[in-house]
Amino acid sequence: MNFSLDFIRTAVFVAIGLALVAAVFLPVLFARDARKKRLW
Amino acid sequence: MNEASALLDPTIGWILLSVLSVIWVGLGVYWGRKAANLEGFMLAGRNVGLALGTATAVATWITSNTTMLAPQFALQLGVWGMLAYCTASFGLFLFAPMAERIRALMPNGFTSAEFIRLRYGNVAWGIFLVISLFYGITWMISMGMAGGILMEALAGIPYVYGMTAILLVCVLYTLFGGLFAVIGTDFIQSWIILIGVCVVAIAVLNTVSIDEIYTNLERNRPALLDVLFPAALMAIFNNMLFGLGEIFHSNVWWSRAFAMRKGVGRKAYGLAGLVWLPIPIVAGFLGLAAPALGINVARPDMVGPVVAGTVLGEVGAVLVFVIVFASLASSIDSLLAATSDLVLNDFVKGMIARDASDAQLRRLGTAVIVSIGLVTWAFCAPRIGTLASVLFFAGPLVGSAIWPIIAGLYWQHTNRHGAVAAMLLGSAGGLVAYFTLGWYTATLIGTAISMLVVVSTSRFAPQTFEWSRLDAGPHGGHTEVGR
Repeated sequence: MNFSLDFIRTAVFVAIGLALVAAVFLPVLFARDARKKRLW
Repeated sequence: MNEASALLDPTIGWILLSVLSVIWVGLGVYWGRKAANLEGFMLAGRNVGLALGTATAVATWITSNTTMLAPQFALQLGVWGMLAYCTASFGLFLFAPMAERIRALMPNGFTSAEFIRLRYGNVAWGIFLVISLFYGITWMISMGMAGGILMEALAGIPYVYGMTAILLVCVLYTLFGGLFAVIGTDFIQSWIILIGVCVVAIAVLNTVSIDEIYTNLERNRPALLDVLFPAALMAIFNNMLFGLGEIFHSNVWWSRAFAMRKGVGRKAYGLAGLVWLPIPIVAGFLGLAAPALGINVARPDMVGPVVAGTVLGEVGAVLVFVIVFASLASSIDSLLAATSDLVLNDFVKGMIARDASDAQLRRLGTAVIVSIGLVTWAFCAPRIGTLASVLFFAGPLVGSAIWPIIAGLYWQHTNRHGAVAAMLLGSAGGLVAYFTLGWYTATLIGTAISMLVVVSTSRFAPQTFEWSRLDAGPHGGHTEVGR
């Protein structure tokens, strides 16, 4: 039994999407903490 | 691989290495100004917020293995290979509530070994220190060696120069800035890695479709698509338990739990798990795409960089160099800081210089960091290949510490002697399994034995522990609670 094409396509696109969201999310979180003076 | 077959021109490699080194050391000096006292230096003032807390957990858990081994796993173990690597994120998810509890039980704590000493006594502390230091030093040696090998493979920089440069940079900025520098640089490094792996994966998708990749695998490497690929299925459990053991016991993660502001630990580690989870899949995808791109893989451990170089040319090679440097630095600096904290807090402050002032301890801390850097360099320099594989022995050792840690944090009636026996018997049993059954069973068996010992001794011979004894006071106290 093989992994289906749809499974692999979904896994890869979801993973790239999540990583891109994380790449945007981290600086936004940083800016929020900096604004509230809660970085350190 | 020699200069001629490196992905990057050595001159570009040297320029990149120099620029990155100057930036990280400069940031270390800049953030180091915040470390006014010993607590600031070791634990970044115990006030780290959500953004930096999340990023430092992500960056530390992304080692050069994540970016280099995930594509290799996918190439050799198929779809399960990259999914198996993702299970390492479970350690971050499960440590999230523990981080909160650690911070609450030990508001003035410094190290994971200190918890073991206060909770289980001096014998358990000694065994745990051996496991922890063995793991920390071997992981650092394997990272230092990986740094030298990768710099040579990517840019033709001779092994000893590349290895020395990356160790020196990490020692310098940790020395100047302590955990402030480590956490600050981790934020930038995690961001670079996230962007970098996405750019390469999207470039691969622009060159070859997933349909073509799938058809190629179905025709030429059908085992990689097999849902019941036996070797890959066994790798899942070993990988997951090794990851849990590494995070639960290592001072790298405990020191961050101590460093985060109250209420931040649970959210930061949970978010870090979510951010980390997709990276092995994105990186692993490069390995799956290699056959469809017509790449003849001579060295499976270099499949990620070769794919990046194929689809993006020199830009891809530069990107991979920066990603690899960031992955290595973010792990080496954390190990360096956490291991030196263990040595300083548990050996120097606990046994040798009990009455030393903060200023004296800070100076001793400097000596400890430099010494650990030198020891690591001395082991890395001869480039003994088998040394890196010693790290795999650590699997059953750290696996045997999982249950004493969990039970020690959550069960008031855990038996102290049971915890000692669990670490000893779990480690021994796991090592026997390593040599007689195979590497993929070692951590599983070590963890299982440890669990049986902790649960049975605590069930049949419970001992009561007062949680308040874990808070040893504002100076991290070396009170005699062990028996």
